[in-house]
Amino acid sequence: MSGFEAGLRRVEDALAAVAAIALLALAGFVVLGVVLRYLVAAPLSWAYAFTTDYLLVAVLFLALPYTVRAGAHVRIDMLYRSLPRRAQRWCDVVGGVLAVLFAAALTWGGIALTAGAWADGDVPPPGGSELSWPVWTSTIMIPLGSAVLLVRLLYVLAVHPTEPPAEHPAPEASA
Amino acid sequence: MAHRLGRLLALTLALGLVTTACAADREGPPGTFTLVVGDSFPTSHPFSRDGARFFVARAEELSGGRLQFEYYPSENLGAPQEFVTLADSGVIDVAMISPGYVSAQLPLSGVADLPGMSTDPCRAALALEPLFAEGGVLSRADFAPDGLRPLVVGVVTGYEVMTGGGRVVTDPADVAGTQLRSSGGTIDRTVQDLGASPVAMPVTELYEAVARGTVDGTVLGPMSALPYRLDEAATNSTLGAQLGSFTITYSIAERVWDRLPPDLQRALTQAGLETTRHLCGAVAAYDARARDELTAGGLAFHELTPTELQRWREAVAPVREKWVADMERMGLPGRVALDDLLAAQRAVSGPTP
Repeated sequence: MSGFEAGLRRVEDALAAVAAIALLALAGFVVLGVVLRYLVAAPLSWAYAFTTDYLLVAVLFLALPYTVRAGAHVRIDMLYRSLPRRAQRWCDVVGGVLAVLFAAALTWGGIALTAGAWADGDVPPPGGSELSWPVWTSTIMIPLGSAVLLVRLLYVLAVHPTEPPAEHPAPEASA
Repeated sequence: MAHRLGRLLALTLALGLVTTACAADREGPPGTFTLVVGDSFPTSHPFSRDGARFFVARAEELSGGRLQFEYYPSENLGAPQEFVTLADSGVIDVAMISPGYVSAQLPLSGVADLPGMSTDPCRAALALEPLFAEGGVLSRADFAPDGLRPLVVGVVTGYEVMTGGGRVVTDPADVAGTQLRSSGGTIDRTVQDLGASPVAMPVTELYEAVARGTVDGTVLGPMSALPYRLDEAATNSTLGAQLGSFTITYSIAERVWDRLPPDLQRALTQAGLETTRHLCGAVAAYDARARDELTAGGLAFHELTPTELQRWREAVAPVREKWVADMERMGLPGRVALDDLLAAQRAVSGPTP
């Protein structure tokens, strides 16, 4: 394994770990909300907004590169499987290029969104159910996850087409 | 409430649509302009029927057909939390912008949703008009910096306490210790100040939550309660508490506005003024009908007596002051906004159309 890939894996693992913690926290908040509501009639009014603004964003975007590496994304491969190996490789290249373009657009859009929120100083006013934290602290996860995804996709595109497609699902996929 | 996850979806959509929009030239025959209008309301909703569609028809008429519109209702172009972003990126030219949905981008405009404001939709909307107009405090502090120019104003007034399980609420003290589903923003603050706990949940879950007693009730207007058939789940409601409002605008992006010749700008402004006046009457009528239907469905409204009303006013008075203090802390002219609105409400006497 190259130093580059080792480094990339470490970044992906770290992001995936944060996503996993967010998923756990999400479940925790639901349980805590129910308990607080029934026992002390004082629910966490900010938990719902925190979940939609932070936890769900983290679960989705920070886990993207890891999921690609693990080959865990949903793939419709009915046609793919019946193709000869040569055609499969072409599919990989075309699919890879399209994915790279999409990830690049996502990264660019995420940066624009975050920069806009930063420049405008967008903050939910206090007193509402939303935490009065700057909006960019949530949106930054979008370009962060997408940028690492982009690097991973480029790496897959550069390395994988030379490997037999049967090996595509990485060991993590079955773990 | 900003659903930032949704923002990304909107962004993806925007990327796709910008390319389409550029391909299809929005300037048709010489001198005509086609504007894209987007909102989140189903076509049967008064905001869509008597707001967006009325506006479009009037603007087409006043411009002699030189203004054409493509109207996308029902979140066809994205969620209401994304409309500021979508107007900015060029997907929507005239967007439904509701400060309640985008409080992070338009915090000062929350003044309209503070408790104890006018109960008459026409008075409420007409009082807001000068604040949203060019040079008005909400235009200066909120809309102009986001590149938006409000054309139409609509207000659903009359947020009441609706409770389930036979709980009757007549006095502010009756809600202390209860859990009320709240729609967020300024309403949360009001609920909290009454000594209740605001519970955040999607409005679609409200029926079940009230029916099962997961929450004791909600703070909502009759017009918004009817589509969810809250009369089946809730048993009681106040009438006249006026704990808040829901305010919307149809705003045009400045980048589009600047491209239009002065006569078309005038046509849009005129169509906006007329729509605001037409819409508020329709909202008032619809709200009254909603109240009747809810009553028929078994929701018992308790009309607050003048003494009770006075107690509600006193109970929510600190909410406004706290709001002003929070805005001033954020460096926004909260005091000016509140004073301007109250003065404008006094100036607008009685329902107009």
